[in-house]
Amino acid sequence: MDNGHNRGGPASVSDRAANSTAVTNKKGLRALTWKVLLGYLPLDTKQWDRVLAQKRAAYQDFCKELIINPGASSNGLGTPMDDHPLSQHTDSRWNAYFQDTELKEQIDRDVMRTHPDMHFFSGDDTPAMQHREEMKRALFIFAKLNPGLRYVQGMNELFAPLYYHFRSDPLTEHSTHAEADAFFCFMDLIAEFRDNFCQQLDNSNVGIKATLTRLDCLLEQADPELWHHLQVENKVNPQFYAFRWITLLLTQEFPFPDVVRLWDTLFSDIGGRTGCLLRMCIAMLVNVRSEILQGDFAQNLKLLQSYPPVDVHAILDRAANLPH
Amino acid sequence: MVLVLCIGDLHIPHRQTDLPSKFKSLLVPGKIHHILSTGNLCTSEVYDYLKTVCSDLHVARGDFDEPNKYPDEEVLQVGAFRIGLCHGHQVVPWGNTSALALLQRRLNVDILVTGHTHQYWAEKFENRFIINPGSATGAYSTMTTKPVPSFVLMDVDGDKATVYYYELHGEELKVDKSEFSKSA
Amino acid sequence: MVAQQETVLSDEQAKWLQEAGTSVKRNAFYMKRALDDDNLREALRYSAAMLGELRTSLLTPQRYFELYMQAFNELQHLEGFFRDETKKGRSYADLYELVQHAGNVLPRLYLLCMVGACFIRGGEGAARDILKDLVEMCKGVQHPTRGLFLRSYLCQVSKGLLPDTGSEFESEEGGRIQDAVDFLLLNFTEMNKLWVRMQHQGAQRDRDRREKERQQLADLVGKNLTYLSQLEGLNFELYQGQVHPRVLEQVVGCRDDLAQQYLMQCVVQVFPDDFHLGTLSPLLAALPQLQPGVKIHVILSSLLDRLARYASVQSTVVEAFDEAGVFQKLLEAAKSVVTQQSGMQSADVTAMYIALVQFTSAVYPDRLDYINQALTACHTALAERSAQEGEGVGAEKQLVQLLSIPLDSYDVVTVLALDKYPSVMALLSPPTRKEMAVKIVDAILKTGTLVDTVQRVGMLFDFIAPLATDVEGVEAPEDDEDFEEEQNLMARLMHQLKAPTLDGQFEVLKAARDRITQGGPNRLKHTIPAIAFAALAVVRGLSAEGQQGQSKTEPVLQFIHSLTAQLAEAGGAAEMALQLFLAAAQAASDEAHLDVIAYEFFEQAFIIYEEAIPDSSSERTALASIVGALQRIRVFSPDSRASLVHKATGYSAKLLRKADQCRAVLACSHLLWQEEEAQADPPSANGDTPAPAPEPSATDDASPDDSSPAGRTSEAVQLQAPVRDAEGVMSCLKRALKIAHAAQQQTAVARRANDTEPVSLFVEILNHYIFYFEAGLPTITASVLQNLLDLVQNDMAGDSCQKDSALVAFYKNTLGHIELQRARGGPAAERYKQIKVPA
Repeated sequence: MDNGHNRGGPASVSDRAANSTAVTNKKGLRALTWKVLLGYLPLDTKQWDRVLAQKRAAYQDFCKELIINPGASSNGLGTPMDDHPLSQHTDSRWNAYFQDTELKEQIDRDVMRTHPDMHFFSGDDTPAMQHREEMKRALFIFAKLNPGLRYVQGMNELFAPLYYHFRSDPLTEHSTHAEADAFFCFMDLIAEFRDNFCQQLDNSNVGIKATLTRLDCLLEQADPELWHHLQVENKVNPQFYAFRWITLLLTQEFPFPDVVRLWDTLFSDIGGRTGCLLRMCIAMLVNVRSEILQGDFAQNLKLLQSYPPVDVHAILDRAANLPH
Repeated sequence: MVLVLCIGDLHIPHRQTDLPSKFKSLLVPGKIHHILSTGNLCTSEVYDYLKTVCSDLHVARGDFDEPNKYPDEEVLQVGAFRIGLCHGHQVVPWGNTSALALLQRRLNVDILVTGHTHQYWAEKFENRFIINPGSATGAYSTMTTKPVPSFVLMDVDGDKATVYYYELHGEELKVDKSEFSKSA
Repeated sequence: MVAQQETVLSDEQAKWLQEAGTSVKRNAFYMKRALDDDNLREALRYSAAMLGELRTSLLTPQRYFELYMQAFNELQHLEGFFRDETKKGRSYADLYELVQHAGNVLPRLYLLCMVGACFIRGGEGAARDILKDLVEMCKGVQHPTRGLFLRSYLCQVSKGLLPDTGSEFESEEGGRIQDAVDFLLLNFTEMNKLWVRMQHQGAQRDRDRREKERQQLADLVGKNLTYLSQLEGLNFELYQGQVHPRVLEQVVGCRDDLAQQYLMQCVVQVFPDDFHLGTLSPLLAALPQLQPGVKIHVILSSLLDRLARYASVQSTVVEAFDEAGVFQKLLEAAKSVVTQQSGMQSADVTAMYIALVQFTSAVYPDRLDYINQALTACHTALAERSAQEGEGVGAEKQLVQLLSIPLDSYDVVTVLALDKYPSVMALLSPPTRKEMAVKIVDAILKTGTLVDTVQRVGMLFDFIAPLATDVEGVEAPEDDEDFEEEQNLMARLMHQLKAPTLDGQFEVLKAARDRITQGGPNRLKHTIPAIAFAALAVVRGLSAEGQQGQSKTEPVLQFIHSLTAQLAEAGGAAEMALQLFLAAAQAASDEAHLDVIAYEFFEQAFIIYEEAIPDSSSERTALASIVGALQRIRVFSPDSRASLVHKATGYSAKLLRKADQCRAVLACSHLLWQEEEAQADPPSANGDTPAPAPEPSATDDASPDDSSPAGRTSEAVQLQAPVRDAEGVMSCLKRALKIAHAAQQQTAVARRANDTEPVSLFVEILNHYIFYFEAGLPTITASVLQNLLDLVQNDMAGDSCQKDSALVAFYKNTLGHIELQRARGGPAAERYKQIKVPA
């Protein structure tokens, strides 16, 4: 155990288990691997130091620029001299600050609820509090930089595994910059799956509905009997269970260490991650096919909405064997 | 950042019809963390109104408030500051800096918020700060011949307080600002 | 039960409809087959059989309509065939002849109408003759439902075939616009008769249901009027000369509530605005003749809505209205409706006047007299009604609406000129009257309207009387939250009473006072302070104008005096009265420079203090206020001042707790030491003009008990130099020390060793010594201060004091202050250097 922050407490089992997966996090290997897989770090290792320095500095600039501290004597640019806390002018920093407050409160609510079983996220001590602050800040910066998407509930769950591993990097030079690194990796991750989050695209051929339809077709091909039972007889539409699976990249269906393991595979499938994710979903369904075939609408809905404990490798094996 | 609204001596309905609408439109809920009122709200309607602006409302008893409804003095901790609240009619001579400084030493506060004179006034006195937000309605005063509506908003950030002073001249709003930090 | 019946009924209806519909379908099928076979005779036979289904009497109008539509659609096939037939050379005259052979009258007439229409369209026959023929022949069906639908069919198929002006069917032979009008009017008249007659069909107990069904058929009748209005050739002359009188004759003459209600509104809606303007008199004259059950106000308000909109679009219309005397006509019509419709509900009467007032305020924004006339008429109507029925007017909702219109459309002060307004308000039940009064005050406060003359104040109080005084029928005001809110509203209103000059302002306030004081003690408590402060503002204004002399300011101060005395007598407002006396005392001194009056105000404050302050906490506050106010006064001669100071100090030493006594006495010390800069104005530089000789008239305005306080006349005096009585200060400080010592002994005796209050009193006294040391009081030398400091230092060393963190901080802050003053430099610092501050 090289993570100093998770001594004792009911959460430590979970925390410890998080490291016992395919890519071990010893020496921050997983953190590094993910950064490379997500395209944050280039393949040319000689450039790493330069890229990291550049990105981390950029993140600092974002924070400076986007987090309004209305009370601080401003740098003077574009701020009215007569700004005051109750100003309702469009160019008032105070006004902008209060308008951000709502977004911050929304993020705050969600971050407070992230992995309540893990001390790392939910503890009362200074490190845990700092973790939450950093997550909130990164998600806020993301929302400000992506006005089209802003913050969507659940983003905290996608951010958490990245941040956790980067923050747990034994090399302080990396762990101290976990927030910035996780922020950029999160940007890359969202870039790939953003259409699922975008409400305006819900009904388009790239939005979440289209992805769910794709899943439905894949299931019909992979296991017609299962599909028939679930979709035709039970009328359990994929929207009822797989919406969360897909938008939150399975984070809510498995224990944290298993999620991390699934993500190893998911991230490795560069260029075909949505396909990979859908194969995992199919594998999950097939994995419980005998239960499904015996179940009615209510039973199956319950089964799929709270997926039973399972050996995650079985899922991965099944997924790997599905046609690509 | 903590925003503290200092407001008082409204004297509605005895001396004024209402809080100026300009002030009402500025004082929207959701921005202010604490209200320290120097008193003379006079009716529960005004109290209820201030409650809608911010539910953390502290009122010191003014000479025209109902007896035994509010305390004469109150002390609060905001950020690094101890802030005292007292209407001021109890401090003779009225509005006298030395007499108020005496009260400030007794309450042991960094900032004393006081009213009664209906005249905005802020003064640094021996590392301490005395603020009088004036009368929010510009109500008649025996001490000030031409009172104008005013209130004060303090932005407390750790050991630094920025004091915004809002004053209404006719329809024109004037906002001034000064800073006070708690030095050793 | 009823619901069950209706279900049964509707099940039956469905069954009958289905049966009839099946028959229609079947016959239509054979009809179409016959048409395919080009067998006209067979086709006619089946079409007649199909139309024969419309002879049923079983169906409700709704169901009948469904069946009719079904048959109507099928009939189009036949019509199409006929058109082809004529192309083959067969003449319509033949066809017209042929269909006459249908056995039953109803099918025959349907077929005739259809062929007749083709006849006209084909240009074979003269529209005039055929239409006349058809409309006459339809009289053959007198069953209401069947007749109505048949005529509706006729109306439908002849649409566009009328010899309207400019139409292709207009000609010498085919007829002119007059014929088109005649046709539609005749059809309308006949249909209306059938429609009216419907109500007599069937059992009396089904009347409600039947009326509902009849309502559903209204549009069939109304369609004739719509078509009339759409005629190109219908100009105003024709409308005025024929259409309008004949339609009205039919409507009025039918004496049927439902028909009148519907058709009058129909007339208002379908014909153009300028027609209405031109026929306003006869139209309005028809209103009173309508049946008692007709909601005339609804008709009138539709009409007024139209006229108002008309006026808003074209600016010249208002002139036309004036020429036509529209308002007077409307008003007379409303009055005559009320006279002739004795059974009309008050609510409906009011609703009618609402329409009129709404119209007036929209069309004549500057004719307040019109509004007043309307209100007068409404008041007369309602008062008569309630007098006859011997009970309240009712119609509260409508009256409130009526009274609210002027408030929304005009400046509230303008509304005050409506002298009939209060009497209409008086028709409301007392609680609603009060609500209305609240509404008026709200409107004034919201718009910031100023009430600027005595006359207007009087009117205002008439308007809002229910708030200002007890009203018969309303429970005696309880001192509860609602009452308090109402009276606070009244108090806020007092600040809206503002005349442009100070003299005028005083008159306005006196007028308000006269009304307010009739409100009883519970109201006074809330309203008097507001008037008193408004009067204080007058004093200040006079002073600013350099009129602080007795003649101007004294009456105002007397006015405040008498008001405040009344407040003190009212009971339960002692603190407020005391505070008002103090505020007035300061004004008498600072603004008016009238020492005698200022003195009297202090005396009064002391009397209240002695007699009416309820508890020790209030005593403390009251005394602090007295001392604070007195400290500022610069108008008193040394003797007057000494006497008041003596009183204040005496009461201070009599407070309940030693600690309170000590602090109060410390406060009193300041009565003997006024700061140089306390007064911004130099005492006698300007403004202190010698008081003019007392004018008898100056006090004329005041009521008898306003006579000069203390029976002395007063003159403006010059302000005194600031009091600097070092001896006096010292004696207060020593007295405070004595009390603190006594407190210390008390705790010792009571063995309350942990009670640190006496020591904190000493620290407080120490701070006052410091205050005067810095102020340069000659009697407080460095050694005097040092002695006290050593004494306090000694006391502070005690365990219990050291545990009292607040006290420790107070003391520490006190020493810190001395250090800082010492470090600052300057003469005080020099003197401080002689002080040895304990570590």
